[in-house]
Amino acid sequence: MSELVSVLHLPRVRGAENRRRTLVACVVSAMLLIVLTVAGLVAHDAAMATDFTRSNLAPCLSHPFGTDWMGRDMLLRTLAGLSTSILIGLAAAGVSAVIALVLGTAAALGGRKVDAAISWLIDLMMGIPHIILLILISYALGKGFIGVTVGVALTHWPSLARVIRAEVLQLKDSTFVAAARRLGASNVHIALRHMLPYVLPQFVVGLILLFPHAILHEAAVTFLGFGLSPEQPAIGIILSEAMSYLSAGMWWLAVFPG
Amino acid sequence: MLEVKDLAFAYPGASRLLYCDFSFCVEAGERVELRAPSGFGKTTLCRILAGYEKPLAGEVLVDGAPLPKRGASPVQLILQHPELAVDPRMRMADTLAEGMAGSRERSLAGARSQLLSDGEVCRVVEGLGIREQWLSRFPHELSGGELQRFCVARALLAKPKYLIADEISTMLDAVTQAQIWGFILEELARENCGLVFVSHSSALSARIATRTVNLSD
Amino acid sequence: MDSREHERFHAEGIPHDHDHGDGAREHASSRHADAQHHHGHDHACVSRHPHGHHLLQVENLCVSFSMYDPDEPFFRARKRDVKVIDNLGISVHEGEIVAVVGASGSGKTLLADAVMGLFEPNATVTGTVWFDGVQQDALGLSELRGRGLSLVPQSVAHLDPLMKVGAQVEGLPRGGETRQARRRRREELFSRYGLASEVAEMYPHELSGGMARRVLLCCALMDSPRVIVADEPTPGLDLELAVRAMEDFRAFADAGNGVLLITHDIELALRVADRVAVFKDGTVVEETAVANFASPDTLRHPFSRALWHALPEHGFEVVGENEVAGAEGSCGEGLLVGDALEGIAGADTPCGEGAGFTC
Repeated sequence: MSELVSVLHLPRVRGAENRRRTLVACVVSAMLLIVLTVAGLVAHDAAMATDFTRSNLAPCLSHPFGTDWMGRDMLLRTLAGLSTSILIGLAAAGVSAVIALVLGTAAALGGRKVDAAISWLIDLMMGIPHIILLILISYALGKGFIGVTVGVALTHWPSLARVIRAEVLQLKDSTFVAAARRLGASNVHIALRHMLPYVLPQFVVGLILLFPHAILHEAAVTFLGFGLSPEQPAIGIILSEAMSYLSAGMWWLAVFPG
Repeated sequence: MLEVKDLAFAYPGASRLLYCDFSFCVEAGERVELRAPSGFGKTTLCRILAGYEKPLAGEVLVDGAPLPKRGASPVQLILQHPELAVDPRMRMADTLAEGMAGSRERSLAGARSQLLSDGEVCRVVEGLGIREQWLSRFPHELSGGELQRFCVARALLAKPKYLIADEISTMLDAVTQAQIWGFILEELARENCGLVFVSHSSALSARIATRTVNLSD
Repeated sequence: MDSREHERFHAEGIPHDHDHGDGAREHASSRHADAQHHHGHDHACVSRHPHGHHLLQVENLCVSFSMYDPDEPFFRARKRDVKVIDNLGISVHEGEIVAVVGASGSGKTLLADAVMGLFEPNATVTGTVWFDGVQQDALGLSELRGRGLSLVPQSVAHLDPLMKVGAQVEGLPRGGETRQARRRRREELFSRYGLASEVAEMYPHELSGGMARRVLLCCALMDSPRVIVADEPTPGLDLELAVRAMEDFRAFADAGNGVLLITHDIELALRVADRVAVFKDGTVVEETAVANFASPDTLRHPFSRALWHALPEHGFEVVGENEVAGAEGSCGEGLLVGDALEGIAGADTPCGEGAGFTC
């Protein structure tokens, strides 16, 4: 049959294997993080080593990022600083996300009064500027690694808690949860089988979004001098120290860690 | 006997009572059609009967006892939209297993493989024309008709004394409708189970109902 | 008409004229007797061909999506094309309502989208569409949207909730039109469908169900279309109300236009339509006059006959399972349970065809 069939529409992108690319991207970024952290931990001591004969070198082959005024290699310092920051970020984001999960779920399932209290707390936390609270907590806990981690963890949970509360509330009223309940499913079963699979992606995304946020705030607090102690290599410290040398033309101190 | 006594109901925030001092009852083995104009609240009544909504006043009794707070309810509801009644992130075998009494204590991974070794499940699955490979699918991979078979199977496996069917075949083609209803009627007769249903199709109601309750009177 | 169906018609010895050479499908006569069978479909008494061609004709329409294989492990799953609409053909004549009947979720809405020139980004759509005797490409279809072909959606949810109804119906002037002309046209339509002039100042949530339906119809009629595609226009209405809601479509069709009514409700289709297209597994298996639904003997396709038998007012039974056993078919009865289940798994179509989207 001689039939002219016209193609009305074709997909624009053909055959992109999205799932596989996502998997590869995830593995590569996880590897990068792990390698950075491990390298930084290994380089930690080397990064503290001073060598006044080689101070204030501009970037060259043996010191790709240059050296600072105490002759410390900036590449090693940056690596060590990054690993400290990643560890703080991971710990703070993790704790923060768990607080969010617990409070968000409690607000959604705990009845009207609990919900009102937690919602009020969320609004309160969101109303206060992060950095002020962060400085206060960090200072009260005696600065250092613990102070910064707790400070960041305690200030970053509200937005994620709100998201989780909304998600759980929506699930609680969904028809399939009502149906499961009428079929005799226990609360544990409903929480594990019907709620966890929905909250988990929100939780993971929230955690990942918190992570850079936590690092940034850690660096900010340290920069302001309320965070880590100055001998520790951390991005905030390095930048803070670099500030005073910038006017002397030692740009490499700030550019590479930044 | 499924009894509704002096029921009053209004949605939160609504000024008008949807039901006020409403009573009716269904005997075991009876098939009752609920008839009322659009927007009267047939679906709401179905939800109240199955315990999905709490009435403001009055009670729903099965053989003299109120609906249990825990455990499988003796009144099971099948909805018009099966897509809403199944968890979109659960495979169909797990959804089906929810209907089986006692399966919740078992690990659900185990339940999936044991599902078809249960004679009861097999009979229902086969009678409703559910295919074995659908069991490992997610809801979005099945059509409305296929999902509704699962919802019916799940409700029947919970061994209800009364089944509530709210426009369950409205979205289905006539062949699927006939097949699903054929099996439901068979099961109702076998278990001496009562039925309350809503349908906008008068021909279908005439086929199924043993009694019609006109809510607007 | 695709070759498979073609062979079937020959095999059944049904006379079938060939006039496939030209694109516009000229007809020898402009009228057909009621229930006369003629290239692939039966006609109703109101069906007319005044210019020797169909008002809207779709042939060999295929819509496929590229998706992951559900039967493979998550990360190893390959994408493959799943055909949702397969070699579909349908025609709308002047003066008639054609109902496309099939279960919801079986892909009928995709047919409407394809005819309206709306395509999902990951869809592959092929086929031939003639509008009023002229073959259309994708650009032509999108230009016809609103002017020759209009869509009446399901509910007011398709209106912008923050815009007054009148302004939405008027829309923006196109070509050389003035805003005043569009306003006059809108007022004329509103008065024809019994909508008070205050309605134009209302927001969509203030409309009652019946008013909303008429507003949607006015939207569709604004640019004087010839064909209206109505996608499930009567959800949640009982039959009497639905039939009343369809009166406006009847009037539109009687004025020499065509309506393509997409619905899952076969009772409604038989009450208001002139012809019924039975939709199954992504294609139209039979296009026939409503009159032919009076008895199973006048229906050609086994699935249409199965539908007839399954209707509550007839047998309300599932007959000819072997004939209709597609993706929705039931399993064989009378076998031992274990055997039956194995039998199903074995006899099943390879998952290339039916998986996921069939109904």
